[in-house]
Amino acid sequence: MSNAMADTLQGWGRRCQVTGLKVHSEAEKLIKVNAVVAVVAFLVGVIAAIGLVLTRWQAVHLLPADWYYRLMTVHGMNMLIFFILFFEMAVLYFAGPVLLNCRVPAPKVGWLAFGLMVLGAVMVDVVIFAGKADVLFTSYVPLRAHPLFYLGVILFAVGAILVTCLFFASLVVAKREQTYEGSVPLVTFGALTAAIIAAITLLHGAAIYIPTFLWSLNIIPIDPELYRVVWWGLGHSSQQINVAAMVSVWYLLGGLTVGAVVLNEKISRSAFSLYVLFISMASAHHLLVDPGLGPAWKVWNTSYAMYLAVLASMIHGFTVPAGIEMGQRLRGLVKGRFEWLRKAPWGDPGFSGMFLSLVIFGFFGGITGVTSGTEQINIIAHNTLRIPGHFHVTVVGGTALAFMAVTYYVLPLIFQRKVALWGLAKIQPYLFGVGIVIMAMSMTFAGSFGVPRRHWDITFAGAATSVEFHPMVDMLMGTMAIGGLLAAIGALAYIAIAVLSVFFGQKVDWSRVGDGGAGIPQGVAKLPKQAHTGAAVEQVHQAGTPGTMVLVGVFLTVFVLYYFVNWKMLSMVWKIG
Amino acid sequence: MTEQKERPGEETPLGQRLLDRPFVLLVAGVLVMLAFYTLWGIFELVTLPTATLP
Repeated sequence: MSNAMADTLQGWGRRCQVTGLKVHSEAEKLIKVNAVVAVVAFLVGVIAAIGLVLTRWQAVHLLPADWYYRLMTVHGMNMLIFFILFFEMAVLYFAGPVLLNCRVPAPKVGWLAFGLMVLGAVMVDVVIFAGKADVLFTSYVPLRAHPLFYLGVILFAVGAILVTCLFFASLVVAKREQTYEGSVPLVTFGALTAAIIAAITLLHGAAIYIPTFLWSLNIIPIDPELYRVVWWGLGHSSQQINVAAMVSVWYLLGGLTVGAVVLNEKISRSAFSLYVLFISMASAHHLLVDPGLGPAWKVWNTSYAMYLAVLASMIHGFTVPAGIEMGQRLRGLVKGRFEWLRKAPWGDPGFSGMFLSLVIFGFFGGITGVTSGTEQINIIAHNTLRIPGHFHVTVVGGTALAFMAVTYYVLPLIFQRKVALWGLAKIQPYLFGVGIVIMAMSMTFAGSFGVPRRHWDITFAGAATSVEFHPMVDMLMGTMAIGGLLAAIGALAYIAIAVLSVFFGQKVDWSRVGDGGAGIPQGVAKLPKQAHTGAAVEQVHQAGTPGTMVLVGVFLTVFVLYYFVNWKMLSMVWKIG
Repeated sequence: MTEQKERPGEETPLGQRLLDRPFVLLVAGVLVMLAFYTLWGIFELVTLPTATLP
């Protein structure tokens, strides 16, 4: 680094010793505070989750009904909104100002937004724990919470929309100040997709939570069905921000960990643009059994349009592992179909977390989601445990695990700290990933036996009428809890690693980072070079990605079988003849 | 993490120029969702005839 460049960065920020990116000091601080608060919200959500699985496990049935629904509300709000969105705000500051080598346009607005989001989140949590908002994540009208609950959500949303605006402003500033050439990097384009979906989400949030706040003050009435339509424009779309952010993290970690290449920029960007246009319509899945909405609206939104977003996910589900395979083959791992996979850095939690996230989201989440989102099949899945079974492998096994994986690179690259408890960090993604899969698949199969979601006591003890489930359900509810507890151990391990690293971790010695060792992920010790031209590249391109093609074949076979079995199950509900 | 760079003298394809405009994408994304999900859904509900009691 020249002295002139060092001077330029004085009072502005620093240059990353690994990636060479200029890091604006305000961007760095805002990434840090948003990531730290995200982990705090995650801790609250995990504690609530332990109470929930130990209650739904009928053999334990830990909590009374009121605390079950209270912790269900805490879990939903902290996991699906606070943890995820705080982390995504950090992603936006990284993918905007850092990747584009520019400044945060209005840092004071960033701090104002952060303050609003923290205030809103604290208000919501305090009101719920005070027992004034046992309305669950959906807060369906006419269930009524204390007005401060709705006000807290509104303040949080205003903060989030300010950060989204700052991200758009950083695109404008970077373009004007010519801090990059050509198109923005693919990871930034993915974050742009997330930001656009965030705008859609927050528009719906404002459109529904402001009237609901007024309704809670007895100022205006609200129609429950209209509430459901507009609310799901927020409730489901907010989870699609996760999808776009998660896919961006996959591309980022592929590059950082094994030098993955982007097979085709045009294809990957087109797939992201399909998300922009069509993925938010998936909100209609939640209304498939609502009688007020017609079949044309339902089928258009959940099938014709939404399948274009599914196509986008399947494209990313191919291009990410294929890019990893290509990157590994360019590093000489060309034997057979799977040497690139066998010799991947499985001891690097950044890589293992990313790859597990990809598999869990694609195989388990994608297949269950598309199947139960089909209008006809939905009738046997709606409001059963199949639905939380599905979204725990997309949002948790997919997004949360991807965010955990990228944390192992954020700690040294942004916080400039070694990863603490390195031995535990290496196995943490496996603990969490395996636990979530066991839990979610148990939920999915229990749901196939008709077990309802969000239900405190499926034995209906003391009720006038009794309901009996297949004996298999007892076992499935037990494995659900065991998987959930294993995932909770993995989640608590992640929190311990993050807290110890940030507040008590060893500073990275950049002069010796190349030596690697405990606490330094291998991609930080030696950033893999990406090759795009040359004879070796040409040779590998000619060979293609045969290993990924096999994985795609397995995926499509499982998809077809699961889809067929569900139609068969549907046909058995009403036998004709 | 790659950046797409233009080669000198080469015209940027239409698709790439479109995807390079974040505000066009923003408007398109918001309009499609509003038209097909939100407004159509609300229209279905507000035009629903009131059920007559038996």
